[in-house]
Amino acid sequence: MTTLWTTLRDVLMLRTQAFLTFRDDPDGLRRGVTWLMVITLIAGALTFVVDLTQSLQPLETRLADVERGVEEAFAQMERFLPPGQMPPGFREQFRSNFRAGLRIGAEVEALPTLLPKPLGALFEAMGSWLSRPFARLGGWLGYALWVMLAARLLGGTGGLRGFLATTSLYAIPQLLAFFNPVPCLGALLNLVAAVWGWAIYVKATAVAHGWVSFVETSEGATIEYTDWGRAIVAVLLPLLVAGMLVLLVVVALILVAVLS
Amino acid sequence: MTVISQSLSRLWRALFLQPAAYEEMREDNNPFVEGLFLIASVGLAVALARLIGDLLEWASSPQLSAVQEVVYRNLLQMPWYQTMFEQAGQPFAEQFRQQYEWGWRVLPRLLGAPDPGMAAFNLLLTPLGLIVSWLIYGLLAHIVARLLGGEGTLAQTLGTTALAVAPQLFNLAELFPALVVGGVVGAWTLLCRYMGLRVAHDLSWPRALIATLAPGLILSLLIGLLVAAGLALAIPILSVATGGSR
Repeated sequence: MTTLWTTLRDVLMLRTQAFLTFRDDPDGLRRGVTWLMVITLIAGALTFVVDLTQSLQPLETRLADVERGVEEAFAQMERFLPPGQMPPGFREQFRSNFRAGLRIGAEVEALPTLLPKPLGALFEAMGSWLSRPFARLGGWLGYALWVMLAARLLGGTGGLRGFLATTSLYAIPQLLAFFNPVPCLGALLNLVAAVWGWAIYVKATAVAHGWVSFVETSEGATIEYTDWGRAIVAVLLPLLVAGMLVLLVVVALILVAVLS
Repeated sequence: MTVISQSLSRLWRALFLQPAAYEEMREDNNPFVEGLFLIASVGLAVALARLIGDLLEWASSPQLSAVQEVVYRNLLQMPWYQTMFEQAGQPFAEQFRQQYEWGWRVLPRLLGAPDPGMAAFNLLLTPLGLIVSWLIYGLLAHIVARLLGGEGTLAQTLGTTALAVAPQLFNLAELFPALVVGGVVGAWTLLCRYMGLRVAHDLSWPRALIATLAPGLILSLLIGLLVAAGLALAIPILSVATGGSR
């Protein structure tokens, strides 16, 4: 247990040794993936409880909540739109159609099912909660493949397994997403987790690809040197390339539209 | 029992990209048979997990026909329907009903509504699909790897790429109703195939990467060519049939 806490702390403090341990451990990838999944489950636990509690509320309460949400969205929209921008009668028409939709939802909800209703709600909330680690795993892996390629093209020497094992540690600060359902604080902590996660990702890339070196001084002390520049470029390159491709497509579409 | 536990252990280690698992498969007496066994077993297990998940989801959802009836009845009461009915009369009502029923035959399946019958049929289709895609991929990857200087045999290629079925183990989680595993399986499969080809043919990383991606590109190209050829044949025929050749 102490080792676990020490590793967690060292990763969060970007200490090289913690990353080296993961990189060089033959079982590092399994450990990293397990951490990523468990952390995502813990981070989503409060949201799961909130979702489950909401779905077990009486139907009328839930429908009223949805309707209030839509009314609030309309009020927000009216605040930001210039006066007269919304077509006359649009709100009433939308409201009437929306209520008809809610009525359909209510009638479908009242239809009988083979298993007791609360079990269905539990399945739904649990399914959504248990899907989160897979979604995170997919996003992490999909991006990591491109970063790995960029790092190799930039002269990185790291192996695939070590790279994946170390970068999986980016998930640790995502524990802060536990507070996601808390208004204001949740969004703020999400931002902190995202920035911290990126910092860990960059450090992990540097360690995995041999861009961290140890230089011994004449006094016998060891100074650590991290090539942050190359690591940052490797991590951001896939994003930049994707952004440029999107820009090119948009420009091409505009040109086609103008020329035709 | 030992053979099964050995295979499972190999599959588990292959999932986490441990080279030893791929090397063991390469040196196996009969990597092809071992691979076939692994793929069939995993395919069956995944299909079984999905069947259970589908049954639970189906049992906790209202009957589709009842939902269809409720939605239809409510749509008929909506103002836009009434207006259209007043304007176009009975033909509109008939056409609307037909299109609505057609939509309900197609959409629920597309949107992943629980279908225990189909899930049961998948007990056969999933392993079969995995085996066929493995054989096609393995064969194409082997040809590309050999062209790039690889030294592995076809049986070794098939054996090591069979370990790329390991990420399908994630799909076992679909035992839980409403759980979505998503795109992680596809990306992870690509990684395992890369490892398999690299170990089977002792290729450098850029060559192993090309050998991994080439079969997908070749297949896409072939499908594209087939579609283009089909269109090239169909357009003149349609043109003649509709009298457009004049």
